[in-house]
Amino acid sequence: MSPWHELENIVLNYKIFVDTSALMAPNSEKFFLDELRPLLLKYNKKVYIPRVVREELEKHKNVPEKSSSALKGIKIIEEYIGSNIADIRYEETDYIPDQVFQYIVSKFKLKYNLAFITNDKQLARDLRDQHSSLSVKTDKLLRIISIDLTGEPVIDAEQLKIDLYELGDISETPINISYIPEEGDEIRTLGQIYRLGRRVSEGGRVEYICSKVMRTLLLRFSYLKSSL
Amino acid sequence: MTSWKKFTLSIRGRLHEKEGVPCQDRVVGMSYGSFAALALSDGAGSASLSHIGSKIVTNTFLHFLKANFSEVYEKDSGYLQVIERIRYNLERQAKKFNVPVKEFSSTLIGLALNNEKLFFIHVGDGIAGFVDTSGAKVLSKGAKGEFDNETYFVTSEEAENTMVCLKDRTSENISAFFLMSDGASRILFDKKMNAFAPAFWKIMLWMDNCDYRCLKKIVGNSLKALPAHYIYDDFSIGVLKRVKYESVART
Repeated sequence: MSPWHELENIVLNYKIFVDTSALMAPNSEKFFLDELRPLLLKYNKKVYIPRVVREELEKHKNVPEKSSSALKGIKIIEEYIGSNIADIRYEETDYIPDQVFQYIVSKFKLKYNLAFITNDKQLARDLRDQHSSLSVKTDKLLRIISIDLTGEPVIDAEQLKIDLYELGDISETPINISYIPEEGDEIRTLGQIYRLGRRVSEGGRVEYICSKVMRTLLLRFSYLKSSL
Repeated sequence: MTSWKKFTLSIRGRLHEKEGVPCQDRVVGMSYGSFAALALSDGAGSASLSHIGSKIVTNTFLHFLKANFSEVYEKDSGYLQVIERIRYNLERQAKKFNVPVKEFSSTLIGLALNNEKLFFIHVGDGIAGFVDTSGAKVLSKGAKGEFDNETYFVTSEEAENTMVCLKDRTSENISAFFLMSDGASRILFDKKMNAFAPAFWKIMLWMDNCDYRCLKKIVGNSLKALPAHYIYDDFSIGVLKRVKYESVART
């Protein structure tokens, strides 16, 4: 699914919340005004913006280095309100956006699919942790949308990584040994005798470089101290 | 109408990083109209200029096939023509450097497509494969030497006798072709399960969702974050993924 189709799916099936960091991101107007707004209008949907987000932007407006980004964020919110595609929400217990978003996850994660537009990586991780907490399990989904430097959406960026369990099994068959090989020792393996060259690492694993005719070979010995 | 989206990535292994040795893998791709090609080469660790050798091998394959696809595809001796051309360029470079040609020793996995015609050649180790409606399949595991760590190079005398060659028509059911160096296949192909690892499928999925630059960054960063022993060897992968033009325009 392309990012655009995925965004369309999110607009249709998720409650969307907007964070200050996304509104202030470079080229965020491209995403909010050219990409998200047409979809919201097309499907008659709204995004939710906590009032504390607006208040935070007002504060940043007075900080010289953040002023222009904050003004851009305020302008986006005004455009959204003008197009009737934003709902500004406030509760008495709202203090700062991060706290509000975490409250939203705990309150609605059993009821709705939730999507947060934020460029704050730590907030994204916290929301993900809270959503996947084992004590309160849910079959509803959580999506995190960040905005890249060109103003394009990146969906679930923090999940764009490869985990060890997703890789092929590279473990070798263990054998019991009584002696850890040293530099200069002769090793019979892979059907041939090798003389161990320079030791390149040690610890729970010893690695030696051995030169052969065709290619450099890395011989690796993994061991547990208790097996010696 | 079909075109092919390409993705290529080479990462220097931790061992080479530690020793200050350049990445000896090289993978290049080209997608131009109905023609698309991928070439991957793994330079020999024992050869001092194999990082240059792998560049010559891949670039020669790509440009030679681009210029001579029909001739090479039709002729029985097409494979040898390709190998001879690569050797010629390697020897010319060896003369320039005044070193024996074996200092440029490198493997080759080369794949070229032209209007659903496939030309494939594999000298040495690594894995080539394709994805169709029933999953990912191995096209070739190449040829290794007597021992697990030995392989053949384009310059080896045994190259002609050990290389895997294929000329065929491709099916529309094939959605992607891919090449992996031995460093990549070690972690993306699970030998015990005889299947491609979930990480491979993740990269294929990311190809749909990310542009070329973004994908390079994501895959590169993911691999660099792995423990050192997972990528002690150079890692390289090349993918050609079929793109079908949809009639529904983005509104």
